[in-house]
Amino acid sequence: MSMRDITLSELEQLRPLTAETDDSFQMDQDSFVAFYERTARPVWAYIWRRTGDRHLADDLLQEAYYRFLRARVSHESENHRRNYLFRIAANLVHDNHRRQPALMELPEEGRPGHPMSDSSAGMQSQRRTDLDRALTRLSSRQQDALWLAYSEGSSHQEIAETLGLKVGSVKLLLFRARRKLVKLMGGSRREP
Amino acid sequence: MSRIECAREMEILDAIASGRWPERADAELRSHASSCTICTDVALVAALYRDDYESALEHARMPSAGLVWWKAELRARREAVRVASRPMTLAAGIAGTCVAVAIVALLRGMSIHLDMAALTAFLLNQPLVLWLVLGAIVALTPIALYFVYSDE
Repeated sequence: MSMRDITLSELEQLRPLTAETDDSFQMDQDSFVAFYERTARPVWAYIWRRTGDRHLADDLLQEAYYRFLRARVSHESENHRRNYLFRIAANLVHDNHRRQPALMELPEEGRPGHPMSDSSAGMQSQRRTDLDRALTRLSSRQQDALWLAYSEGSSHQEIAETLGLKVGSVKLLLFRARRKLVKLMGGSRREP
Repeated sequence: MSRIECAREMEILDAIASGRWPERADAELRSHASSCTICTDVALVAALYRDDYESALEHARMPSAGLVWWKAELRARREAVRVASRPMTLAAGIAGTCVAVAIVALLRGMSIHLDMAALTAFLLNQPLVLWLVLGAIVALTPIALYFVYSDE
Protein backbone atom coordinates (compact mmCIF):
# COMPACT_ATOMS: atom_id res chain seq x y z
CA MET A 1 0.00 0.00 0.00
CA SER A 2 1.49 3.39 -0.97
CA MET A 3 1.32 6.38 1.35
CA ARG A 4 -1.24 7.99 -0.94
CA ASP A 5 -3.60 5.06 -0.34
CA ILE A 6 -3.60 5.46 3.43
CA THR A 7 -6.58 7.37 4.76
CA LEU A 8 -6.56 9.56 7.83
CA SER A 9 -8.44 7.04 9.94
CA GLU A 10 -5.96 4.31 8.99
CA LEU A 11 -3.07 6.55 10.01
CA GLU A 12 -4.81 7.08 13.31
CA GLN A 13 -4.95 3.32 13.74
CA LEU A 14 -1.25 2.94 12.93
CA ARG A 15 -0.01 5.48 15.44
CA PRO A 16 1.69 4.02 18.50
CA LEU A 17 -0.71 2.94 21.17
CA THR A 18 -1.27 4.99 24.19
CA ALA A 19 -2.49 4.39 27.69
CA GLU A 20 -5.93 3.89 26.16
CA THR A 21 -4.98 0.42 24.85
CA ASP A 22 -2.71 -0.44 27.74
CA ASP A 23 -5.71 0.09 30.01
CA SER A 24 -7.74 -2.40 28.03
CA PHE A 25 -5.03 -5.10 28.18
CA GLN A 26 -4.00 -6.97 31.28
CA MET A 27 -0.25 -6.47 30.65
CA ASP A 28 2.05 -4.00 28.90
CA GLN A 29 3.91 -4.74 25.69
CA ASP A 30 7.21 -5.75 27.27
CA SER A 31 5.54 -8.20 29.64
CA PHE A 32 3.48 -9.56 26.76
CA VAL A 33 6.52 -10.15 24.54
CA ALA A 34 8.27 -12.06 27.34
CA PHE A 35 5.14 -14.12 28.07
CA TYR A 36 4.58 -14.80 24.36
CA GLU A 37 8.15 -16.01 23.89
CA ARG A 38 7.64 -18.49 26.73
CA THR A 39 4.22 -19.78 25.67
CA ALA A 40 3.53 -19.27 21.96
CA ARG A 41 5.38 -22.31 20.66
CA PRO A 42 3.58 -24.92 22.81
CA VAL A 43 0.21 -23.21 22.34
CA TRP A 44 0.68 -23.08 18.58
CA ALA A 45 1.77 -26.74 18.54
CA TYR A 46 -1.32 -27.69 20.55
CA ILE A 47 -3.70 -25.83 18.23
CA TRP A 48 -1.97 -27.15 15.13
CA ARG A 49 -2.09 -30.79 16.26
CA ARG A 50 -5.73 -30.43 17.31
CA THR A 51 -6.89 -28.72 14.11
CA GLY A 52 -4.39 -30.04 11.56
CA ASP A 53 -4.28 -26.66 9.82
CA ARG A 54 -1.34 -24.24 10.04
CA HIS A 55 -3.24 -21.16 8.93
CA LEU A 56 -6.08 -21.89 11.31
CA ALA A 57 -3.48 -22.40 14.06
CA ASP A 58 -2.08 -18.92 13.33
CA ASP A 59 -5.58 -17.38 13.46
CA LEU A 60 -6.60 -19.16 16.65
CA LEU A 61 -3.27 -18.29 18.27
CA GLN A 62 -3.94 -14.61 17.56
CA GLU A 63 -7.46 -14.92 18.91
CA ALA A 64 -6.27 -16.76 22.02
CA TYR A 65 -3.75 -14.06 22.90
CA TYR A 66 -6.26 -11.31 22.19
CA ARG A 67 -8.82 -12.85 24.54
CA PHE A 68 -6.09 -13.44 27.08
CA LEU A 69 -4.99 -9.79 26.94
CA ARG A 70 -8.56 -8.51 27.24
CA ALA A 71 -9.48 -10.82 30.12
CA ARG A 72 -9.84 -9.10 33.46
CA VAL A 73 -8.39 -11.96 35.46
CA SER A 74 -5.74 -11.79 38.14
CA HIS A 75 -3.23 -14.63 38.01
CA GLU A 76 -1.62 -16.08 41.11
CA SER A 77 1.42 -17.42 39.28
CA GLU A 78 3.03 -17.94 35.90
CA ASN A 79 1.59 -21.46 35.81
CA HIS A 80 -1.89 -20.15 36.46
CA ARG A 81 -1.47 -17.61 33.66
CA ARG A 82 -0.24 -20.28 31.29
CA ASN A 83 -3.10 -22.64 32.19
CA TYR A 84 -5.55 -19.84 31.58
CA LEU A 85 -4.10 -19.28 28.11
CA PHE A 86 -4.37 -22.99 27.34
CA ARG A 87 -7.96 -22.92 28.55
CA ILE A 88 -8.78 -20.17 26.06
CA ALA A 89 -6.98 -22.08 23.29
CA ALA A 90 -8.84 -25.30 24.16
CA ASN A 91 -12.19 -23.49 24.04
CA LEU A 92 -11.33 -21.99 20.66
CA VAL A 93 -10.40 -25.42 19.31
CA HIS A 94 -13.69 -26.87 20.61
CA ASP A 95 -15.68 -24.02 19.07
CA ASN A 96 -13.92 -24.59 15.79
CA HIS A 97 -14.66 -28.32 15.85
CA ARG A 98 -18.31 -27.59 16.56
CA ARG A 99 -18.46 -25.29 13.55
CA GLN A 100 -16.35 -27.43 11.22
CA PRO A 101 -16.32 -30.99 12.53
CA ALA A 102 -15.20 -32.46 9.21
CA LEU A 103 -12.15 -30.26 8.81
CA MET A 104 -9.85 -32.25 11.12
CA GLU A 105 -7.16 -33.25 8.69
CA LEU A 106 -3.49 -34.02 8.38
CA PRO A 107 -1.04 -31.40 7.14
CA GLU A 108 -0.67 -31.37 3.37
CA GLU A 109 1.72 -33.86 1.83
CA GLY A 110 5.16 -32.36 1.46
CA ARG A 111 4.51 -29.95 4.32
CA PRO A 112 6.25 -30.27 7.67
CA GLY A 113 4.35 -32.53 9.99
CA HIS A 114 2.86 -34.73 7.31
CA PRO A 115 3.84 -38.32 8.08
CA MET A 116 5.38 -38.92 4.68
CA SER A 117 7.36 -35.66 4.85
CA ASP A 118 9.27 -36.54 7.98
CA SER A 119 12.96 -37.10 7.56
CA SER A 120 12.78 -40.25 9.66
CA ALA A 121 10.12 -41.84 7.50
CA GLY A 122 9.12 -45.44 7.98
CA MET A 123 8.41 -46.43 11.55
CA GLN A 124 7.96 -42.93 12.93
CA SER A 125 5.71 -41.91 10.03
CA GLN A 126 3.62 -45.02 10.47
CA ARG A 127 3.28 -44.34 14.19
CA ARG A 128 2.22 -40.77 13.49
CA THR A 129 -0.38 -41.94 10.96
CA ASP A 130 -1.68 -44.52 13.42
CA LEU A 131 -1.81 -41.90 16.16
CA ASP A 132 -3.66 -39.40 13.96
CA ARG A 133 -6.20 -42.02 12.97
CA ALA A 134 -6.68 -43.17 16.54
CA LEU A 135 -7.07 -39.66 17.89
CA THR A 136 -10.03 -39.01 15.61
CA ARG A 137 -11.87 -41.72 17.60
CA LEU A 138 -11.25 -39.99 20.92
CA SER A 139 -13.43 -37.22 22.29
CA SER A 140 -12.21 -33.66 22.21
CA ARG A 141 -11.80 -33.64 26.02
CA GLN A 142 -9.83 -36.89 25.93
CA GLN A 143 -7.48 -35.47 23.29
CA ASP A 144 -6.98 -32.31 25.31
CA ALA A 145 -6.25 -34.22 28.50
CA LEU A 146 -3.75 -36.52 26.80
CA TRP A 147 -1.99 -33.62 25.12
CA LEU A 148 -1.70 -31.63 28.32
CA ALA A 149 -0.56 -34.62 30.36
CA TYR A 150 1.93 -36.19 28.00
CA SER A 151 3.03 -33.37 25.68
CA GLU A 152 2.94 -30.44 28.08
CA GLY A 153 3.75 -32.51 31.17
CA SER A 154 0.93 -30.83 33.09
CA SER A 155 -0.09 -32.21 36.47
CA HIS A 156 -3.61 -33.46 37.15
CA GLN A 157 -4.30 -30.23 39.03
CA GLU A 158 -3.15 -28.11 36.09
CA ILE A 159 -5.20 -30.12 33.62
CA ALA A 160 -8.21 -29.73 35.88
CA GLU A 161 -7.74 -25.93 35.91
CA THR A 162 -7.28 -25.79 32.15
CA LEU A 163 -10.26 -27.96 31.26
CA GLY A 164 -12.50 -26.74 34.07
CA LEU A 165 -12.83 -30.21 35.63
CA LYS A 166 -12.24 -31.77 39.04
CA VAL A 167 -8.96 -33.58 39.65
CA GLY A 168 -10.77 -36.89 40.11
CA SER A 169 -12.51 -36.44 36.78
CA VAL A 170 -9.18 -35.73 35.10
CA LYS A 171 -7.71 -38.98 36.43
CA LEU A 172 -10.65 -40.97 35.13
CA LEU A 173 -10.62 -39.10 31.83
CA LEU A 174 -6.91 -39.84 31.36
CA PHE A 175 -7.31 -43.48 32.33
CA ARG A 176 -10.11 -44.02 29.82
CA ALA A 177 -8.38 -42.02 27.10
CA ARG A 178 -5.15 -44.00 27.51
CA ARG A 179 -6.95 -47.33 27.46
CA LYS A 180 -8.89 -46.41 24.36
CA LEU A 181 -5.85 -45.05 22.57
CA VAL A 182 -3.76 -48.11 23.35
CA LYS A 183 -6.52 -50.39 22.05
CA LEU A 184 -6.89 -48.31 18.90
CA MET A 185 -3.13 -48.35 18.36
CA GLY A 186 -3.09 -52.15 18.70
CA GLY A 187 -2.84 -52.83 22.39
CA SER A 188 -0.59 -55.85 22.03
CA ARG A 189 2.34 -53.53 21.31
CA ARG A 190 3.65 -53.46 24.86
CA GLU A 191 6.84 -51.79 25.90
CA PRO A 192 8.99 -53.11 28.76
CA MET B 1 -13.74 -50.64 41.40
CA SER B 2 -10.64 -51.09 39.27
CA ARG B 3 -7.54 -48.94 39.69
CA ILE B 4 -7.27 -45.89 37.47
CA GLU B 5 -3.82 -44.70 38.53
CA CYS B 6 -0.51 -46.09 39.71
CA ALA B 7 1.88 -44.50 42.17
CA ARG B 8 4.80 -45.07 39.80
CA GLU B 9 3.36 -43.25 36.77
CA MET B 10 5.45 -40.17 37.50
CA GLU B 11 8.67 -42.17 37.56
CA ILE B 12 7.92 -43.48 34.09
CA LEU B 13 7.01 -40.03 32.82
CA ASP B 14 10.25 -38.63 34.24
CA ALA B 15 12.24 -41.39 32.56
CA ILE B 16 10.56 -40.66 29.21
CA ALA B 17 11.01 -36.89 29.55
CA SER B 18 14.70 -37.30 30.31
CA GLY B 19 15.21 -39.76 27.44
CA ARG B 20 16.14 -42.68 29.73
CA TRP B 21 13.13 -44.80 28.78
CA PRO B 22 13.31 -47.71 28.18
CA GLU B 23 16.96 -48.69 27.71
CA ARG B 24 18.59 -46.60 30.42
CA ALA B 25 15.72 -46.73 32.87
CA ASP B 26 15.98 -48.54 36.16
CA ALA B 27 15.53 -52.30 35.62
CA GLU B 28 13.14 -52.53 38.55
CA LEU B 29 10.96 -49.79 37.05
CA ARG B 30 10.89 -51.57 33.70
CA SER B 31 9.95 -54.77 35.42
CA HIS B 32 7.12 -53.00 37.21
CA ALA B 33 5.91 -51.39 33.98
CA SER B 34 5.74 -54.73 32.23
CA SER B 35 3.47 -56.13 34.91
CA CYS B 36 1.30 -53.05 35.52
CA THR B 37 -1.38 -52.35 32.92
CA ILE B 38 -1.64 -48.71 33.89
CA CYS B 39 2.09 -48.09 33.63
CA THR B 40 2.26 -49.99 30.33
CA ASP B 41 -0.39 -47.70 28.92
CA VAL B 42 1.26 -44.61 30.37
CA ALA B 43 4.63 -45.57 28.87
CA LEU B 44 3.20 -46.26 25.42
CA VAL B 45 1.00 -43.16 25.25
CA ALA B 46 3.57 -40.81 26.79
CA ALA B 47 6.29 -41.98 24.38
CA LEU B 48 3.96 -41.46 21.41
CA TYR B 49 3.01 -38.00 22.56
CA ARG B 50 6.58 -37.06 23.38
CA ASP B 51 7.73 -37.84 19.81
CA ASP B 52 4.74 -36.05 18.33
CA TYR B 53 5.26 -33.01 20.55
CA GLU B 54 8.94 -32.65 19.74
CA SER B 55 8.18 -32.88 16.04
CA ALA B 56 5.39 -30.29 16.34
CA LEU B 57 7.64 -27.88 18.26
CA GLU B 58 10.38 -28.34 15.72
CA HIS B 59 8.05 -27.37 12.87
CA ALA B 60 6.27 -24.57 14.72
CA ARG B 61 6.44 -21.26 12.83
CA MET B 62 4.43 -18.76 14.83
CA PRO B 63 3.95 -15.07 14.05
CA SER B 64 6.24 -12.71 15.96
CA ALA B 65 5.21 -11.29 19.32
CA GLY B 66 5.28 -7.78 17.86
CA LEU B 67 2.83 -8.68 15.10
CA VAL B 68 0.43 -10.39 17.51
CA TRP B 69 0.57 -7.39 19.85
CA TRP B 70 0.04 -4.90 17.00
CA LYS B 71 -3.01 -6.81 15.66
CA ALA B 72 -4.43 -7.02 19.17
CA GLU B 73 -3.98 -3.27 19.59
CA LEU B 74 -5.75 -2.51 16.31
CA ARG B 75 -8.64 -4.71 17.23
CA ALA B 76 -8.92 -3.22 20.70
CA ARG B 77 -9.02 0.28 19.22
CA ARG B 78 -11.71 -0.67 16.71
CA GLU B 79 -13.80 -2.21 19.45
CA ALA B 80 -13.33 0.86 21.64
CA VAL B 81 -14.51 3.13 18.80
CA ARG B 82 -17.50 0.90 18.16
CA VAL B 83 -18.48 0.87 21.82
CA ALA B 84 -17.97 4.65 22.17
CA SER B 85 -20.10 5.44 19.12
CA ARG B 86 -22.95 3.15 20.13
CA PRO B 87 -24.80 5.78 22.26
CA MET B 88 -24.33 8.37 19.51
CA THR B 89 -25.77 6.03 16.89
CA LEU B 90 -28.66 5.20 19.22
CA ALA B 91 -29.35 8.89 19.89
CA ALA B 92 -29.26 9.68 16.17
CA GLY B 93 -31.70 6.83 15.51
CA ILE B 94 -34.10 7.99 18.21
CA ALA B 95 -33.90 11.61 17.00
CA GLY B 96 -34.56 10.56 13.41
CA THR B 97 -37.55 8.49 14.47
CA CYS B 98 -38.95 11.39 16.54
CA VAL B 99 -38.61 13.81 13.63
CA ALA B 100 -40.31 11.38 11.25
CA VAL B 101 -43.17 10.78 13.70
CA ALA B 102 -43.56 14.54 14.30
CA ILE B 103 -43.69 15.28 10.58
CA VAL B 104 -46.28 12.57 9.96
CA ALA B 105 -48.37 13.80 12.91
CA LEU B 106 -48.09 17.41 11.77
CA LEU B 107 -49.11 16.57 8.23
CA ARG B 108 -52.07 14.52 9.44
CA GLY B 109 -53.15 17.31 11.81
CA MET B 110 -52.84 19.88 9.09
CA SER B 111 -54.80 17.81 6.60
CA ILE B 112 -57.65 17.45 9.13
CA HIS B 113 -57.81 20.93 10.64
CA LEU B 114 -56.42 23.23 8.00
CA ASP B 115 -57.54 24.34 4.67
CA MET B 116 -54.77 23.03 2.41
CA ALA B 117 -55.31 25.72 -0.21
CA ALA B 118 -54.96 28.45 2.44
CA LEU B 119 -51.83 26.75 3.84
CA THR B 120 -50.19 26.53 0.42
CA ALA B 121 -50.93 30.20 -0.16
CA PHE B 122 -49.49 31.03 3.28
CA LEU B 123 -46.23 29.18 2.59
CA LEU B 124 -45.80 30.73 -0.83
CA ASN B 125 -46.14 34.16 0.70
CA GLN B 126 -43.22 33.64 3.13
CA PRO B 127 -40.07 35.68 2.56
CA LEU B 128 -37.21 34.28 0.49
CA VAL B 129 -34.94 34.18 3.57
CA LEU B 130 -37.04 31.45 5.16
CA TRP B 131 -36.74 29.27 2.07
CA LEU B 132 -32.98 29.85 1.92
CA VAL B 133 -32.57 28.80 5.55
CA LEU B 134 -34.62 25.64 5.02
CA GLY B 135 -32.66 24.84 1.85
CA ALA B 136 -29.35 25.31 3.67
CA ILE B 137 -30.45 22.93 6.45
CA VAL B 138 -31.49 20.28 3.93
CA ALA B 139 -28.20 20.64 2.02
CA LEU B 140 -25.85 20.79 5.01
CA THR B 141 -27.37 18.03 7.15
CA PRO B 142 -25.87 15.14 5.10
CA ILE B 143 -22.47 16.87 5.09
CA ALA B 144 -22.59 17.35 8.86
CA LEU B 145 -23.57 13.71 9.36
CA TYR B 146 -20.68 12.63 7.14
CA PHE B 147 -18.15 14.48 9.31
CA VAL B 148 -19.68 13.13 12.51
CA TYR B 149 -19.48 9.50 11.40
CA SER B 150 -16.41 9.56 9.11
CA ASP B 151 -14.05 8.64 11.99
CA GLU B 152 -15.67 5.25 12.29
